Amino acid sequence: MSHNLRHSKSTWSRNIAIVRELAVADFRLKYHDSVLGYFWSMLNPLALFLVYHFVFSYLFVVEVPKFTLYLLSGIVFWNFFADATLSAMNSLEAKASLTKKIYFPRVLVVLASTATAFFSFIINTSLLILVVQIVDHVSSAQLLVLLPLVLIVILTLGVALILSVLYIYFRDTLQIWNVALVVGFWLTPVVYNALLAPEPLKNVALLNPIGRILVLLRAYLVFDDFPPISFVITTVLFCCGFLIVAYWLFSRNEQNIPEYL
Amino acid sequence: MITLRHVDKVFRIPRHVTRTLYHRLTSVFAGSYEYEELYALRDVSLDVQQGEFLGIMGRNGSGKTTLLRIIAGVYRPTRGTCVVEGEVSPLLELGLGFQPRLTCRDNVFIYSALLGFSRDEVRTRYDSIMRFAELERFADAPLDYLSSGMKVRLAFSIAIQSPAPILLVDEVLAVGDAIFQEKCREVFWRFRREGRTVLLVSHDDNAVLEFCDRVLTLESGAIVREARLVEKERSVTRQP
Repeated sequence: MSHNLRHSKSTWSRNIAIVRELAVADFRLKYHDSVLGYFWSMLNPLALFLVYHFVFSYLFVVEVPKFTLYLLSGIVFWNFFADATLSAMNSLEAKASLTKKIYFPRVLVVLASTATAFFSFIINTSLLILVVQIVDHVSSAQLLVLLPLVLIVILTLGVALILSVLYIYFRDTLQIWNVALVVGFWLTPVVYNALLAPEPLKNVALLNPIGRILVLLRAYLVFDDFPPISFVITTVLFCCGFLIVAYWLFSRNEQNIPEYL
Repeated sequence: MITLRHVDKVFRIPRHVTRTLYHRLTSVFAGSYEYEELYALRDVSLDVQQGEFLGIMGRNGSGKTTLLRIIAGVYRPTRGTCVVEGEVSPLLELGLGFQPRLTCRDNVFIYSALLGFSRDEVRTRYDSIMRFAELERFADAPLDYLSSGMKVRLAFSIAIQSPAPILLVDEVLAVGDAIFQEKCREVFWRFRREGRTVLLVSHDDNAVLEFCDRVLTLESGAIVREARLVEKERSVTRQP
């Protein structure tokens, strides 16, 4: 390719600087540079949590021990996935003015938009861990929380890459994905316990990669438990493999991005 | 420094809107996925030497911007090859690629990152960028609030910071008042003195005659005329 020459020694630092500037700018736009702005962004998951907590503690009682923590952790993770994939989808379009002017790896745009969502996710997760410490206890398994956290980021990034490419070809991907997220929410054990779900749903929930990540998360964070190592390994392999395939698809279509925008 | 060989760029323009999955599926099943082929560039071969100031002229839709985008690496040629040795600045053009809801300051930082500057380097240059653009007072205003002239000034001020040896400039002399145009001329003469390679798209005969060593004229995507202009006194510092 003719433009290889510019991959000089400073490529990495330049790419990191681009991601940082784009992510910081996105974050400012989203939260209007204010603490209150950030607080608004937490209202959505908080409202979801309160509603589901009410519904499943009083109306349809689910048999999940430590339901509050169980639900809270599920919603924080699911919210990151939904938030990051939705904003990544039109990130390329939002930055079309830049991608039409200069060549830089287009993947940086998607990375930056995921980083913006990741920032809120990290704050929410820290709060979540704090809540667990206060209402529950400190255990050795909790150190492993880092694993589901890394896995959800890998998986989300993969989905974000694929969706952002699909979106430049098909603009109704956004509507389709909105519906898919609603359905996906119930196919994922966010509010219920996958192991206690009826047969067909149980299988779907446990095959679903986000469902598996949530099982790991709850095991480590809430139940102080260690799932079988084969379950852990297959989940890790799937997430990493998925990201590799997604990146491959993205880079195959990278050259088309400015033309379709 | 820049070598194009038999470059074609073809855009497929669908006859019907197929920007959605729904439309695409229905049109494929109906067997009606049709498109027009638009040759934005047709068999363009071009060599640009280091330090050359090349003017590109032509009517609207003749392929000038597509040519710059191919050299910038934004578009890939449909056929033919394009080899560029050296870093290319961002395309400087009208209708600028800024993030409109962000402030001038944020836009300066984003653009500068694309140019390869670190945060510290931007900080040291920031004041002079804003002074050149004459926008010091509006640094924290969202870009939405600025006039188009102001935006172009800002874009120009950032783009000329580019250390890239190759600069692509698409019709910016047309905007800005006389004073700003005078500043732009100074900058172009500085580029000449520094021996940078500049590709300048312009409708302005005077500008092309003043700066360019060579002028290409494009028509329907093909080079129809090529003229070498008299040698400019590069060594003599002609103060504009």
